[in-house]
Amino acid sequence: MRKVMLALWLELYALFLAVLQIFNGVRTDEAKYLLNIPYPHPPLARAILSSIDGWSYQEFFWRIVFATLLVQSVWLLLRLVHDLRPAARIVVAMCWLLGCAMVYQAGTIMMAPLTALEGLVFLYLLLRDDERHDNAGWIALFWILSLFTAYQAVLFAPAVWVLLRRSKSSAPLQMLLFFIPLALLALYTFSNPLALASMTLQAHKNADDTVVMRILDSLRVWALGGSVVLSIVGTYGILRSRSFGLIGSFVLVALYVLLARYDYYAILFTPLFLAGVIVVLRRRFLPMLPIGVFTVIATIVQLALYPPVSPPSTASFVMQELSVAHASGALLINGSFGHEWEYAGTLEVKRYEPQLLQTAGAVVCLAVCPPVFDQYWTQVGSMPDVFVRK
Amino acid sequence: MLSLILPTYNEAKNLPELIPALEKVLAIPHEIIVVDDDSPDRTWEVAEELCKQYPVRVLRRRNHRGLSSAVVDGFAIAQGNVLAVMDSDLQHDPHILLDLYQAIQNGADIAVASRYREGGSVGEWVTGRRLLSKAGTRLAQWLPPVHSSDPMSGFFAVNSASYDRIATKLRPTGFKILLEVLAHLPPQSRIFEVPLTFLPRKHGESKLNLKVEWDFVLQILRIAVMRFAQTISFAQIPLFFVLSLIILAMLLPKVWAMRLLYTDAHMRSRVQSALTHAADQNGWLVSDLLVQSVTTDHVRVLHDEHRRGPDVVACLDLSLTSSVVTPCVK
Repeated sequence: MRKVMLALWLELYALFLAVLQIFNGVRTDEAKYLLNIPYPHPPLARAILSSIDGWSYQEFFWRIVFATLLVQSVWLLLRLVHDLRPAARIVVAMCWLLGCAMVYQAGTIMMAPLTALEGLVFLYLLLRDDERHDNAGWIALFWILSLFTAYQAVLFAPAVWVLLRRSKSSAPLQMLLFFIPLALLALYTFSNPLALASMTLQAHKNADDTVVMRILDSLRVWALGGSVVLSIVGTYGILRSRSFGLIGSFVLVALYVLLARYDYYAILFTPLFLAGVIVVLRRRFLPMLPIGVFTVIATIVQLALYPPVSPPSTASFVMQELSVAHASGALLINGSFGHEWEYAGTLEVKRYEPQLLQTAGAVVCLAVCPPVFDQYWTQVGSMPDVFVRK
Repeated sequence: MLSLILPTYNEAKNLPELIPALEKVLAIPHEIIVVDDDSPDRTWEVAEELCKQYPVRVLRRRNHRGLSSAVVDGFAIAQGNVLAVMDSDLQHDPHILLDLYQAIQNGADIAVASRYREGGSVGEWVTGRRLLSKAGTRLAQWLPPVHSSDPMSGFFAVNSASYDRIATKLRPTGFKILLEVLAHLPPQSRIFEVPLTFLPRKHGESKLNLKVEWDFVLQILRIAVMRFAQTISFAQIPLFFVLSLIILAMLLPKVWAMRLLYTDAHMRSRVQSALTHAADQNGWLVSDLLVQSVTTDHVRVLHDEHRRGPDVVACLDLSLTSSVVTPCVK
């Protein structure tokens, strides 16, 4: 009964994290997955997410599902540390639940938290026991599903490799189970050349940054992943683990973050850090209480400096106003914009091109408006940059 | 040697009767391990007193509660090659221990004192409890790979070597440790059963309550899931290869239709120009385009106006020679 109560409290916490993200509105990357826009990630998760995109509560529903998956996955960690003293168990759970990355990411509909969760499952299996097992097929199935959820799952390849090598299957079969999913992912990439192009574009973004800037940005993401203290102790544990699965995955995640230094990748570090801490805890005493306290303090300081709630995009508001103004036809947007505009309404969204003005139903200027609006156009409400055809 | 585990909670009055009774019966090398969950009636203290007279060891658990985990903790420190467990409330007949011990010595992996074997009985239980026990037993009987007529019995012995092989896999929650052990033993394990008649309780009260029943339900569900996974585990590798083949069959024609992109650098730049031009002319977002195929004179794309609800999707051919966009010709 105590476990049921704990699960209910955890669910309330998950709900809180999901609600926190509601205030941010749907961001461009989230809209990409909710609308099943085929770049850059493979189709499994986004196809499922978009299967209910006509439902008004789609966004809220998936936020709750994502937050629930991440929060309730603490049970995996608790199973890993069930033989440790209660204080250590509580702090390990606390570090997962109250770390910066979790608070910022758990309620977002992004692929990074989902990949972190998959990583946690692989690391759980890796640390659970050293015995030879006969679950190679299940692991390979989860491996292929993870890869077709998001490319980043490949970062946990070393952990998967060790898990498969530990199985009772023959060596050639182990190789097949490991490499076939990777080969299929490569094939998928070739079947969707614009995914390849979008990844190349992403890789060249901020290419002019100096090495020092790159390292500092990566360090920030590394620190966020474990609220500083856990990052340090976890990295120490990983390096001391002598586990190819753990060290290899950590190195791949670190290299990836060095390339793409977005804060939302911090959560990819979190399961690795916790695995590192657990490795240390199994061998020797660690002052877990200070680690837990400092983790929570770091999260609070981070939250105070950078609140997890920021003003939402104007897309939703503008789309509502256009709906009130009975706009129909295509909406042209002048300036740089994200997929949240496509998600916010039912109008077809196009980039502004002067030759399309004649057939458009509405125009939004996110950059300076071109001086072409004549008597056939009227401003919408008090918004100087939104026009609808009369 | 026989290692007998006596899990206790508020059995201070029963132990001084039980241990001498056991000593009378056990004319074999043995040790008795009392595992007490820090009983409020100080059972552990009574057990420590008995240590002075009998080969008894006491494990007092201050932070743990639960019969199953007490048994597992007891087994962990036991030294015998036959591990046995029985209730401490004088409801189990100590003479049966010898039969259980002998069965293990004769090669059985596990020996169970069963209330539902011919000659056995639940004794003086009231009808409600009798029915509940029967129903629970029926429910639990078909689950483990090693079948027992009484998988909920609290009186059994197990070969220590057989136990060691499964010890790390056990989830000792609730009261039904035998069910847990049976669920993890390999199907070819040898089982022996001895009839057991429950004796009336002399002191103390039954520990059966709603929480115990809830734990039992959860245990049954967990074992059912585990058994289901074991049952279908033979399918895991075929399932993987079937899924891989399906994905391959879906992707290969698509990649083949785009082979020119990867074999001809000139074609790549022509396709890129055509896509960029068409997107600029029509105000399309490139992310709304999905390339379907590439030939020497055109590139076929799907244009999907991504939006909430049903999308509007159009199949279009972009000419690589004249920049003309036309609907797909089948």
